[in-house]
Amino acid sequence: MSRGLYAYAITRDQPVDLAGPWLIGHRGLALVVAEVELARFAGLEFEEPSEDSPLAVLARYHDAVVRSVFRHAPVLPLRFGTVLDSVDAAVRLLSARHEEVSAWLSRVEGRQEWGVKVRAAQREPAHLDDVSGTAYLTLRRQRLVDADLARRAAATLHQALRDRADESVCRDLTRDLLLEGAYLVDAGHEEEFHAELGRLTAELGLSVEITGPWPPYSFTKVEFADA
Amino acid sequence: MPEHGTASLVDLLDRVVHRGAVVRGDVVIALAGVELIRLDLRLLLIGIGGGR
Repeated sequence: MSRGLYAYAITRDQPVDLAGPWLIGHRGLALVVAEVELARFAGLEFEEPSEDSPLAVLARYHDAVVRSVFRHAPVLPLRFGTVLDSVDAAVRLLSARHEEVSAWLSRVEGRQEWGVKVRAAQREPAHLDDVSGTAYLTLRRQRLVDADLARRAAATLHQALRDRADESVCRDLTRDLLLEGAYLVDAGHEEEFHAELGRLTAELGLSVEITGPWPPYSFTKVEFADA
Repeated sequence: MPEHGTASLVDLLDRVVHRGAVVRGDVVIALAGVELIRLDLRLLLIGIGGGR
């Protein structure tokens, strides 16, 4: 088999002009699909992803399609590389999982995802040759105290954002990250969420990166198995 | 309010490739290449913390 139906997302059945992808509707739900050559998904492995790599191009397109739907209706993004074998398979999926999908769409309706990363402050490397033993110990102790304060500040920020979001998830932290959170925020709470984010960032002196709004990628952790 | 335009490729790949609803079963065509990317990307995300 060399072709398949690439599935981007599930949404409510509605007229949407996507310039390419189309909707397969079934009882009020719809799968956003496009016919693809399966060969396009071979050999996407990479050393470091770059903007012009085939993977980046496909992923950006996937995101663009999900976003076009997301602008009009609640959307359940499907994981990259979901390919169905036929229109019939799409209908079977929507039919078998109708109730579950409807519940997930309601859960994310009217909400957007925001990403928040907090990085540890870059430290000046110490010139250890120039310091006495006592000064070295003082410096080390100060750094441990600073690191602990920064971790607490990041935790405070997360707690405050979590209280203003409908749902939140934290990624596992890598090296210099103190927080990598995603927050699903209701349209009615967005202003408050960002005001609190701005206020706490300044107050706690944190270095924060904000991304978004995203479709609810991090909040549709569900498997539709054996449809 | 921040705009999306600046979203880094890593943030995008993390969401598009790793997150989102999963469909399994007879209806889907398994793409071996895509599974390999997930592995690659996971390793990359673990290692990338201080590198940017």
